[in-house]
Amino acid sequence: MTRSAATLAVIRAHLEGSGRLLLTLCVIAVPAGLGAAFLCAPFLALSTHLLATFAVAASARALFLLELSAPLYGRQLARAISIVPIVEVLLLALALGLGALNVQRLTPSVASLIAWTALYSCAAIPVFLSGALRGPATAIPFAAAGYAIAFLPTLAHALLAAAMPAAIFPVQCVLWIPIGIIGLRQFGETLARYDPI
Amino acid sequence: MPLLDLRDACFVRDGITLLAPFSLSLERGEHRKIAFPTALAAKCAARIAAGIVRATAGAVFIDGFDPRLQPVQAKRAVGYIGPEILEVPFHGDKYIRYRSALWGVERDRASARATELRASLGRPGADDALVGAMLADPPLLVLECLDPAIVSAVARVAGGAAIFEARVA
Repeated sequence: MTRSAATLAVIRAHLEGSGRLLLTLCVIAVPAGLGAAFLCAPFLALSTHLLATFAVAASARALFLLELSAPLYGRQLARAISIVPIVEVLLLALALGLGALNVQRLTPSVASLIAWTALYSCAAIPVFLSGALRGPATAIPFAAAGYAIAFLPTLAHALLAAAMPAAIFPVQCVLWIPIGIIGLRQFGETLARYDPI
Repeated sequence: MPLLDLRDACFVRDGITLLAPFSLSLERGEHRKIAFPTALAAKCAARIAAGIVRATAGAVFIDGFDPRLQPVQAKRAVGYIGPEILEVPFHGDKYIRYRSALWGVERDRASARATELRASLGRPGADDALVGAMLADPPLLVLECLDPAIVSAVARVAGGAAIFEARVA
């Protein structure tokens, strides 16, 4: 039995648990995509927060407690739990894109914004997850940091689109990759220190 | 060497002592029942003994491993059953597959062991969590505030495993 079997088992169990929430968000995502492009970032950020919180929230508590009692390293569990909302957010971005495509608003600029917002939302997931495992006082700064990360691509697009459109891709990459790596490491640490009482 | 060795283990959160320092030494095959003054204290004690929660002070050794330094090795020696674990969202073979994947037990072996345990428990339907906890044949079972009927069912099929039962006085 390999480590990946445990990771896959965690992912499958959590995906099944959050199926209804994901379906509801996908149903909302298509009309959101029909609307203006500026709706994409807030919608994805809010959905990411919801999905990440749900992954460790009350309804998933039994699963989560079981996973904490399993012989798994914190970083392995962190990766597995983070993958679930990542898959879900990418599906939502696809639904948003389909919505925008439907009314022929999926210009390269809008497509790029949706794609980057989805990627940044993925980077924000470990931050939201870390916040969800903390008390209300510390959860708020984590949530704020998560939203700030999710909105970064919109800001970068707004700043660079007119002046240096060619710089959008490298700037987004330079910001996104370290944020994602640091966030995931931080969530692994949070999980290793988490006491479910 | 005791299977479970707690030395003045306590748990404090935000300056509030949830579990006062307590010590326990449990040998293989032993069954120890400890009543704690509150449900929260029982929960803390059981989860510290299972390596899920880290004691704020004191020393904890599970099968000779310190769960702070070697959490995987320590947790491998424990089968934890608590009230929240009993409320898993899926059951039957699906649950057994999930548990076996988490504990690294081969699927065929897990399936055969589950059938054996279900037959011994003789409580069809409600035993997935109990079967799951004993699937990897851990040498230590930690039971947190469970119904006496469940405790006796577990004790009946535990074999040589040590049992630590935390309950409310």
